[in-house]
Amino acid sequence: MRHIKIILLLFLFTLPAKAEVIPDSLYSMANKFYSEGRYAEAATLYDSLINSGYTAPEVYFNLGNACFKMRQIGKAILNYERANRLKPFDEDIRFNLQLARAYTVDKIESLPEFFLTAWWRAFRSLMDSDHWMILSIVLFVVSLTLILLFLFSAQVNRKKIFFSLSVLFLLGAILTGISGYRQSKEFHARNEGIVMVPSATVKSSPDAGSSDLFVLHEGTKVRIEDAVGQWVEIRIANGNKGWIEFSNIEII
Amino acid sequence: MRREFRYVLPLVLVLVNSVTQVPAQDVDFKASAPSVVATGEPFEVVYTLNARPEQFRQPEFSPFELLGGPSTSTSTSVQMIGTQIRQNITVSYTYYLRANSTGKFEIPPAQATIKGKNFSSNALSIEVVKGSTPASQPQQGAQSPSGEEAESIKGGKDLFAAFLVDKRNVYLGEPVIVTLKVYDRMGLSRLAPPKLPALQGFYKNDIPTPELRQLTRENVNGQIYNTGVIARFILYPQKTGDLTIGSVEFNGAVQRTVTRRSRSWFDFDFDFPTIQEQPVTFRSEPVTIHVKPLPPGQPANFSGTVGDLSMAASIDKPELNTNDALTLKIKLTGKANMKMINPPVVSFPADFDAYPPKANVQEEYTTEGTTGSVTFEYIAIPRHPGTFTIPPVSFSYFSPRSNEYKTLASQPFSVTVNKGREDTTITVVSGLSREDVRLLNQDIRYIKRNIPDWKNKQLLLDSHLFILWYVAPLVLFALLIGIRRKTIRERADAARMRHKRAARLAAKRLRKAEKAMKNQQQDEFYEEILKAIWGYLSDKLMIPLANLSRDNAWQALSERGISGELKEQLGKIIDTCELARFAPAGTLPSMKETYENAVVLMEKIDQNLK
Repeated sequence: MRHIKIILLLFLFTLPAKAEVIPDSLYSMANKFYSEGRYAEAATLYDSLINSGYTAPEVYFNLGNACFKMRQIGKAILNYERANRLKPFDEDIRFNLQLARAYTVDKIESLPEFFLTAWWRAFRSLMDSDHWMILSIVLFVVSLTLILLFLFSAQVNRKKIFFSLSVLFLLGAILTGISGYRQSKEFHARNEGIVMVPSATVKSSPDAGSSDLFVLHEGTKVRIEDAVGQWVEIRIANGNKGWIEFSNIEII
Repeated sequence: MRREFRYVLPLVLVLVNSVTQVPAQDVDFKASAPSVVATGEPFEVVYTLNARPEQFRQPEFSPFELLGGPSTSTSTSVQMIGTQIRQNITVSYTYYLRANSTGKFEIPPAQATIKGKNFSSNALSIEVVKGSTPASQPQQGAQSPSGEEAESIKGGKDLFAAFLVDKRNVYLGEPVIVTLKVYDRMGLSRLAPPKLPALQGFYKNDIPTPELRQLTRENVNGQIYNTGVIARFILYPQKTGDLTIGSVEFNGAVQRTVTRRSRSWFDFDFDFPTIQEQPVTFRSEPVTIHVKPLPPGQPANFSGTVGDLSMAASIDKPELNTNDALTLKIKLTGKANMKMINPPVVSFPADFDAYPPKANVQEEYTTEGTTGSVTFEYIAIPRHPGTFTIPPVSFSYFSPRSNEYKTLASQPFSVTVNKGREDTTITVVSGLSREDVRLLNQDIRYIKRNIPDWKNKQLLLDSHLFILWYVAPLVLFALLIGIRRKTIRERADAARMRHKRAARLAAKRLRKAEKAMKNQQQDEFYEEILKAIWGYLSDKLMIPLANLSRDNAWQALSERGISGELKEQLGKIIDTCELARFAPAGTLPSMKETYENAVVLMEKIDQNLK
């Protein structure tokens, strides 16, 4: 009986540990290759990690670095963007992404946004979804407590204060909740892509024979709005729209 | 002889001093003669020695015809240097020769024996051209009207100047050596220094040229001219295209024989020749030089230097302390316009404070071009200890000779910097050793090396149970509200019950009081009356008995519409009841009266209470 228990315990401990050994050693080996300047080998290892489902932001970041060192700017930006999606407030990821963007050919002026929209976007980008949601719950609880205080309080002045505060906190909870929700939508959205070929022609309709609208170059970010067969409709930051072959881009 | 311009023939005759002896090894035995002569023209060959020979053997002069000689002359001079007296002797033998046939001939060396030792002079090479009647003579005669000696004449075929350039098709920056020469067959006797033209598009270096004292004979297309070099310079074209060296105007004078005819009183013509100077002007032809751009494929560090160079680089010490100066010298030697060489770029380690280089140029201008060297001195001060490498310094130039760009490179230098003494920080310019982090280069941040969390990222919102975080506080909230409501309601119910029962309780107490009255139990009676009144007030006004006082009871009563009269009566009854326990009997209203008053009053209050 005792033996069986020990074996069971061992089994329990070794099973998860064994599963972690493989990605750890692969990751360390890739890092070692990178530090020795063997970027191609490092990139292959990082790639295999990602293909096996070990999609940590660090892996994407390091793969992006390896690609950048090999001057594969498109792939570098793609991986930095993926890392940034998983870990939106990492300073290193943002820095390298920005630097890699400086190496792209296309200089696209962003369309000016309505100032309220811009503020709203800036506001909800302050934190990621989880933090917004935690904040929302805290505010909600505080708001409920204040309502209780309002109800139980005997003095009229205090009642007024508690009531207005509770309304304020409830509004805060709603606002942060919406922010968190939007952020989670954005996290899951798969409607952005990076141009992966040195240059790709954007057509006016999903047909190779249609007229050329503009040319995009490697590393440019596009928003995917529609898809027909092998073609996707994209929009770039300056608002221009067109159709491009799906093989030219890769979803972030 | 007369045509020779300032012909110097030292004929200082003999001041014999037999003591003079020159050491044998210093014997200087030279032969000199014009390099070009015309047929039929007499010329001199002079042998000069600086010692008196015991024997002098003249060479075979054929095919020249010996007209006369040797005429021997000796000159001595005394030189005093400090206390030393030195006597120099010059012995010369002059022969007069004439050539009869054209061609190039050689006169073998002459032999001389001095103190029993044999010496020989240099051999002479003489070119003989076909003799022509000297151009100046007939022209002079034809062109000279009597008495107009001051008229200026123009030079021409017999007197001209020319710029001689060594090449007319050059690369940008490739030197051109220019010689300004004057050619004369007219007997030039005086020449003012000419004003050289402005040389636009060129950088000029003058080649030092001795002052023109004597023209030399030269064969120019079969004609013997007396020539002289006026100026020599090196030109560096600074722009491409056709550049022109402008013409130069010369002012001088020629010597000429004029036959002057004078008329005597006796109507007797008398011709006599005189030598007189006549001003002459002549100019040189402009010269065009085609400058082509340098061929393509310039190295990145090429800065326009054209020539042939070699480089040497050195550092003064491979090991030094922080804040000591390190000197790196780069010396470029060869043929180029040294002053125009830009210093090569030295990439000192970023931690070094580097100063702009100092250039030290040494140039010599010869007919070969500009030669010399330029030394660049770079001073750098390391601020931090460590081992640093100064990468190789490279310098590129264009070699017109091989028609290609060449790059010179030094070896890399390794410098070890040791930590200097602490007190040397005074040499650091900006305070303490703190300094801003300098942005040397933009590069991506290094990879992350921490083992990541392999769990796939899940957002809180991805879980449907997340809503519980809102629901749970809400449920708790509702629960609390419910409990509160319930207790309030319960309390309210209890009060209402007591309110309802108030009159009944009061009546019960009053009945007890009545019973006590009948039994003449005075204390009990008043106590029951008080209990009835306070109990009633407590229940009706919903004030707990313990908190009830006359003040708050009266206030509550007036709030509920009880008049002051009733309150006064009530007060009186309470006073009576409280006093009755201590006051002697008879001073107070009877029990019966008190009882009746209380019953009436209670009824009234009960009716009026809102």
